[in-house]
Amino acid sequence: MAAAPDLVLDSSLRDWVLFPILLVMILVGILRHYVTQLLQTTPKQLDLLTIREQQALSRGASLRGNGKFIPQSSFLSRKLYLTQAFKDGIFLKDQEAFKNKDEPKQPANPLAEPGGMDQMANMLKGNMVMIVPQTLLMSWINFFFSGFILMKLPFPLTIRFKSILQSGVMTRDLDVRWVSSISWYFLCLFGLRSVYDIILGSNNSASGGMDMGGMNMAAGGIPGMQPGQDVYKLHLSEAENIELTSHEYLLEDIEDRLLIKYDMY
Amino acid sequence: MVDTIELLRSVHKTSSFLTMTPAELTDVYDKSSNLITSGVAARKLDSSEIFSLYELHFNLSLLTSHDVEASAILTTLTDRFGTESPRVAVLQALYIEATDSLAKALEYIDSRPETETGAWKRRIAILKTTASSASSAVNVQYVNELLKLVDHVPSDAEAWSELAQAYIEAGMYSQALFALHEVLLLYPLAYNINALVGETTLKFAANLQAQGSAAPAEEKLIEATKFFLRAVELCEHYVRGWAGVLIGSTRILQQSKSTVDLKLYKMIKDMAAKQLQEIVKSKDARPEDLAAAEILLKNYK
Repeated sequence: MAAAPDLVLDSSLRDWVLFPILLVMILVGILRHYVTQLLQTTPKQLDLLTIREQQALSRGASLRGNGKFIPQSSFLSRKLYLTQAFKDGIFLKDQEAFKNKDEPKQPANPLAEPGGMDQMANMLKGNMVMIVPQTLLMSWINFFFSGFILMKLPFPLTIRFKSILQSGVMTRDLDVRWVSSISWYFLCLFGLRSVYDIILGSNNSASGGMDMGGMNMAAGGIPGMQPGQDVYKLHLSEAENIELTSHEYLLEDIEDRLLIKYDMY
Repeated sequence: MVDTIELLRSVHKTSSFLTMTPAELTDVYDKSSNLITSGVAARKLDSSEIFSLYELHFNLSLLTSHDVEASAILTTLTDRFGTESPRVAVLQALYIEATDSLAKALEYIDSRPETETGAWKRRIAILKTTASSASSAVNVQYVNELLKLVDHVPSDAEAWSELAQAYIEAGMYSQALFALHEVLLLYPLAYNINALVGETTLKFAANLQAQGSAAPAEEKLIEATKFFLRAVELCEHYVRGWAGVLIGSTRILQQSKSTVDLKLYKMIKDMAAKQLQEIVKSKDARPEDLAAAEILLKNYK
């Protein structure tokens, strides 16, 4: 009697539970992909003065970084102009507010800025798209198929895998190779990414928050700028940085460099 | 096929189709058309690259007067990205400009929000085409628009170099040099811009010489030679750069006072002549550059 199988699974379990869960997971993933695309708002265009405010900073940075490529006189005139301009705040978006600035301004509330609000809404939408179907699927499986054993893995595993493969099944001595329904759900949840890649092409949003891409996008926005930061302070520190930059003209001894390179001495 | 994709990628990235000869254009157009119609593009490229390819193919189609094809691609892109996409708006403006009148294109561009720098630059481009033939008032308007653009978007090297070109044409060399230096701050390794700074400085020097101020003119000549030397340091076989070195050093030798190290510039001149001769001998340049080099070598013995 030793050869008798310890457990026999009804084939309807495979047909009516295993495959339906897989299929539903794939379909939900595809649905999620399209819902995410629909919910995506195009990033809001900054108004011209905000662009100017930010670009001024990058101009300062390029002068500091690449100033050695232009003659000293050009460098110095730019240095003088930019430091003074940054200090006078002439690149600032809100000239009125800058001029009437008597009382120390308290740090602006990031929620008050329209841009910050948009970002949060986007993040919220992304999370909702992820959480809602997951909750529904979980409760669907828990309600109908809790405690089901769905399949047997064709290879042996150590006892440690028991908690991964047999969650929801309360037997201590069952072989680890048996996979329960809720575990099958988790395996699908984490393992379907490459299937989505085949169906929807790369860069799809079917597996939602599983990758870090979504997080980065939410944190993106303007490089080097946190919402609510005082731009004037940034400009002042840029002015200081420029003031501290000294000029070393790269073309100072270019004649000698080339004469040596072409062996003319 | 991989070569073709690589080629088209670089053409799209550098916008080199804008300076191609008609024969080259047709060739590239055929290649991209093949790539799209054969379906290879859809298999090999991911979605963002496909749309870049479409954008390129749109431009190529317009330039090779395949208007219907351009319109089809424009429709595809509009379907995918919607009319509010700034990049699609630029293509739409280009299409109207190519198939209808400039006035219609201007009308379309004016309907776009003012924050779209792409559309803004199209407007300036249209202004330029009218400016070159029209009165000085339009020219002033053209330069003013450019100035406004670089005030808001100083990281736009294209705008700075357009501005420089306008100033060079007007003979305002110190302003032109300012704009070119600004380009250099953004792209310090662009050898062609280094050579252009050299050329502009040469013209500036000639201008100063004509006005009778010899000392500053000499300073400018030295500076011009420096920039030409920088250009050939970055790109060894750059005929324009070596030609500039030759001309600059020759002028220094002709005009200079005792303050300059004449021996140094004699050596530099010899070096430039030698390099140009080598390039001519090995025929390692475009035919028109080679012809120019030969003429120069004859004139600046």
